[in-house]
Amino acid sequence: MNYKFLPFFAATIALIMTFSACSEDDTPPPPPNEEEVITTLNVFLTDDNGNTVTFSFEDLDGEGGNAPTITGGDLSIGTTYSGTITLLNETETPAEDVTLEIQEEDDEHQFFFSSDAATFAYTDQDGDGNPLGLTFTMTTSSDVNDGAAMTVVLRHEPDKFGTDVSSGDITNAGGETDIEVTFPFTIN
Amino acid sequence: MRYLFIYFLLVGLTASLYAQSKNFNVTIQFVDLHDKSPLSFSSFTLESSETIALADAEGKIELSLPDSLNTISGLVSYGCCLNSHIGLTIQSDTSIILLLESHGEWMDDVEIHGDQNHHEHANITIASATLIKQADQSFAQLTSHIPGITMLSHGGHIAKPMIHGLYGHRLQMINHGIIHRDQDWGIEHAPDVSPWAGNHIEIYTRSSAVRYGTAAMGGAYVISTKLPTDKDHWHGNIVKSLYLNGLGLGVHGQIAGSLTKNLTLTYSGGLQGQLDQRSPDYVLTNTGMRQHIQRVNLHSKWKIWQHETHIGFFSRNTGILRSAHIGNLTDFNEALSRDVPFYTEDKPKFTIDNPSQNTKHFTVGSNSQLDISSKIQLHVAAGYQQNERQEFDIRRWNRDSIPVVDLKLRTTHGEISLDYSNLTNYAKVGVRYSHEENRPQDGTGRRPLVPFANTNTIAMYVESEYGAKSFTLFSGLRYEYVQRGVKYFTRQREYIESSESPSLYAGNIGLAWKSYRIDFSTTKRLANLYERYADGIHPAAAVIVRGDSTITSEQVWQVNLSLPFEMNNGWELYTGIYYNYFPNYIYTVSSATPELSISGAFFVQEYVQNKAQLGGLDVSILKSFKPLNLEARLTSSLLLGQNIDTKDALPDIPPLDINPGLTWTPSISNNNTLSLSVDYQYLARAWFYPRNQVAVIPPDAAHLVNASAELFIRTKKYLSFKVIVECKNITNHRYRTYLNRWRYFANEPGIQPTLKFLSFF
Repeated sequence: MNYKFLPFFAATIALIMTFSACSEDDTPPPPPNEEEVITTLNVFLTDDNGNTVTFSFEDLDGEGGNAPTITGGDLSIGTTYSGTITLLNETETPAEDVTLEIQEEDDEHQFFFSSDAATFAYTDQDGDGNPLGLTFTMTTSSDVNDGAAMTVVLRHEPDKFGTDVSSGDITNAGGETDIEVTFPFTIN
Repeated sequence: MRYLFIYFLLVGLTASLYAQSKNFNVTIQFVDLHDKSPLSFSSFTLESSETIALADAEGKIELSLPDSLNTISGLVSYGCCLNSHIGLTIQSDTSIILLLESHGEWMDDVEIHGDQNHHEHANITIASATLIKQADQSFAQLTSHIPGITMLSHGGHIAKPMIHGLYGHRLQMINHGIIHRDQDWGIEHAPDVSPWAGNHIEIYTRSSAVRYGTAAMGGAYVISTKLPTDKDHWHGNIVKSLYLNGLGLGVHGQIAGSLTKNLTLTYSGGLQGQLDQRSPDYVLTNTGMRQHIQRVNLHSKWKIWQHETHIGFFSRNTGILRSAHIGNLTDFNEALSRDVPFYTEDKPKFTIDNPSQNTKHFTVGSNSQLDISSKIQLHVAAGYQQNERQEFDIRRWNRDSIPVVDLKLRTTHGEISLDYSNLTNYAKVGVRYSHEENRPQDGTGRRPLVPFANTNTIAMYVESEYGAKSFTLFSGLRYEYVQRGVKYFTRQREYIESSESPSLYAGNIGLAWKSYRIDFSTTKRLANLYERYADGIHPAAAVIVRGDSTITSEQVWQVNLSLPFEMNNGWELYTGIYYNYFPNYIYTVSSATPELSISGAFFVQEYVQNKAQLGGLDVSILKSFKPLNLEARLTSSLLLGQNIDTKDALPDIPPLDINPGLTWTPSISNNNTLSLSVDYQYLARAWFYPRNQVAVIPPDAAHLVNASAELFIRTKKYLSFKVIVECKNITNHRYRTYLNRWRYFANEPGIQPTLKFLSFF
């Protein structure tokens, strides 16, 4: 047997062994927080007298396609409402309550509210003490308004420590939008 | 000095032959195939003794052979460009004229069905000329014309081969000894290897599990690199391709030669890019591709030791048909019945947008052979591969650059085997160890399609072949001990760590008589990670896939009968009959209605397991009309697959296809060859399909006409050329195919003219 090519052979084996030694960590990546399929968003607004106005959004076929059904309501001048949000995925039977998922992943979600005829304040917090927005207060302006609008945005994995994010400013929130709905309403 | 050496060898050979008691006198004249001129002073190296005989000015050599040597084989060499292996059986004193082709490897264009030597040949070998001509094709495209082989695809650039209805996890690509894992071949993941990764391809269309592992229960593609036959010169070729549908260019090249007396190098590389393809009526938006291939092989040969090292790299960026990613259920349902898909654009575009798939595959391997004696060889092999796959879907809020599928896979293997062979018998025993790591990457925002896993496999196998008279009996056994550990999070974020240690096996026994052969085999394979744990959107397949973690393994019992007939009057007939019985067949059941997900609406495919059977018939007929230089051929395949439990059809079973064709090779001059071919392809409508699993009935039958013209301009010197003009679907026929999953959304490409310019040196 001739050993002339032994170094060549050995080098190849060594090369293969070197590559195979490049093993990474032996732990799987952490579980991702996937975005949610949301077909239905309801906003329940209750005044101090216990009267409830419901805003609803329903888009059963998903984004695009058939236009969503959006229902607003009539609110009173200068009134503070307690707001509650529920979310559903009605493509499944029975419908999946996405609200529970948002509650479980509260540190990775935040609602943002905006309106030219109302102000908002968070009344719930996640485990880190940052706002979530499943419950909130909405105070209407003191002017009559026939064409007011309220926009609700649910952000997935926002930067809750971004400038003014905790006070409800979406500008520096980042993340992805799970759902964004604008409801029309009147103030009388 | 060189001629003196050959002279002495010739004298020595002659002297040794005369020393025998009884001899055959054989005169061989070597003549050029084209101009019939003698190949003066060509040399003939006898393989049995490695002695060299030098022809005279008339190309003649005279040999005197002992009666014990009635089969002679050797290498004929002439000038720079002719190195041809010949084998002859001699019964008495005889004179033979051999017509030889220089650059024969460029001219041989026929798949060879060889069945007699199981250990040496798979049942189909792709000719090197075909490989060179189709350097830009995928494995699936390259072999889809072979009866029994079809392709399952998502458009033109993502296609996986299917042998007798079995694909993906049941077929293996063996690239210079490395079994390509390709992220366990998800529901849609074309093999990350090009036929250009080697210069010799063998295909097993029956179970090759004993040799190549239990995952090769449906067959195997074996890619290797043959040593260059010309030790004195460097040879190679360059293939330039221009695609006029899906306007694009491809440049592929390879070169081989000797670095030193005992060290040869083979290099091949290729770059290819195409824009969106066009159907007869509209642009198939986002169907472009980019591909990059590199491969280097080093062969060394020193007396009893041969060694091969190879390094290969493959990358591909493929656009996914935009029309297959629909944002909502209403549009999805409309898309299924639209004449013109959503998202078609006026012009093909160069860019590849989302959805898309990026893959990279890197291999490095080493194969050594030590000739312990003339009959016994020791093989030692080792290899490493790394595969990376990223897939992108249509996402929201500027996160288009973040993949939703991001997977890495690494494997290492080592194998030792011992071969024994003589003229009639053969035995091989081997042991193989492999380690595989599946590593889903963080940061996708989605649950991984393939979980974090480590798999170790130890395999032992033995093969034997016993020949007696015209019969050959062959058999083989393989045992695999697997240790697999899997770690993943459930949808409810529960952390699961599981391990298993199954035993797998494969066995086969068969009998060959003349060229007829029957095989019986059984194989038990481990359920694939994807089949068990996939859970989510697979953008490249435009489906939601759900595995079943309770599925553990799959077994098959197979019978294959090969009946090749070669007659003297120019007729050749090949018939293959096969039957597979699965007590626990693993496959996907598709939903008939789409499901809404965060990436849009998609069909859902769930893995299930049932008792099933698959059986079929392959036919290939060839007739040569020599005086007319005409060759007529017909190939056809029929396959049926059934879920025995429900009596329903299995999904993704290729419908009947019938492909007649004609090739005319007129004589135009001694050194140039013109070949004109026309093929008709009839793809029947799939009439046996799972009726409760499809939203749209299978497409109508398709009638395709393909044509090609090849002009080979041959010189005896250093440069030859081939110009190929080919056109698929020349009638611009509107059609869809059952095995292309984009059939729900769009037609197949229309007329596809391609111009290729091949230069050989």
